[in-house]
Amino acid sequence: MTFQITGEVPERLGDENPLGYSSYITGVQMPKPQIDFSIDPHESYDAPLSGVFRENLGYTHQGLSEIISIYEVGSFRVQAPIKPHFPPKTQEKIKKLMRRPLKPSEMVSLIDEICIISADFYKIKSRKHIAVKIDGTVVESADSEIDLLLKIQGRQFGVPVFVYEVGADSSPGWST
Amino acid sequence: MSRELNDKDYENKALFVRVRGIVQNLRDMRQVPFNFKCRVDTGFDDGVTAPQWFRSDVEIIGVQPALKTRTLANGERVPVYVCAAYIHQIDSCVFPLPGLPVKMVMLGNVERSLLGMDSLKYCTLILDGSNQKFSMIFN
Repeated sequence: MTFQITGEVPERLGDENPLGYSSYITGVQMPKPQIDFSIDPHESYDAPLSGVFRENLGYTHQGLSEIISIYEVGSFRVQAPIKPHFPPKTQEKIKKLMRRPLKPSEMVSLIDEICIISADFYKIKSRKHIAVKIDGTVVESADSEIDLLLKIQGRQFGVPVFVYEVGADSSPGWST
Repeated sequence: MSRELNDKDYENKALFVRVRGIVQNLRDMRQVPFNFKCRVDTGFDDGVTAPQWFRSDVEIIGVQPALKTRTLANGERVPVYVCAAYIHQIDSCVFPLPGLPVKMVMLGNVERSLLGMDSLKYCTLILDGSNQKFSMIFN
């Protein structure tokens, strides 16, 4: 099953085309470009999330229009920049964190939600260590945690950065 | 420069060592030193712990500690700040520069640090419980 968005370039350059793009070259009619954004929902990040997990995160219904934000540029409909989209409850926690400190338990659940969704979204292999910004962007990855910390040591991100081992909720004890 | 710590006595039935090192900003090479009396803890996964107030010292040199969840001994999961540190000296054992790279966890408010398995992986630890002595031999 694919989700398709098809856009067409207007035939004439006019007011309805604010981008200023034209397929006209003097005297020559160029073929209309057909833009096809094909998105397979089974490949998107929400596929591994079970129904119960989605309900706990605050999803009301499952729909691609909720997950993939689409905006229009002129007469084109394009997909938003690739970044994980968080469920409403997580977004509320992030807004709350910007206003005042969270309780440790809330912070732990926020870190888990952001890192799990981000690792799922970018399809990162298990046992990889990743550094994730609070908006879900993965800024660095490495095979071991100390390598990751040395890579990001000295870099300023402006927002909190989380360190997470993909596939592990925490590290209780010595890992072999 | 010795790489061995032989027959050190237990203190209050526990292993304590003096750990010196630095946290370094790898972009501009600014650094902040630390000097903690640490308890050797083989049940602790990370390298060394530091009190929470050390985070402000680290941020002064431009290092932004990352957040991570850790499971405490009582099973509680808490958010902690982590960064990379270099250990230069453990008691009389001195290590060549840049030192031993270990994970530093900023947790708690009292200066009661732990030396965990991320630091102990560089050495052989010999415990002599009957004589209350221990030895550390670094590779």
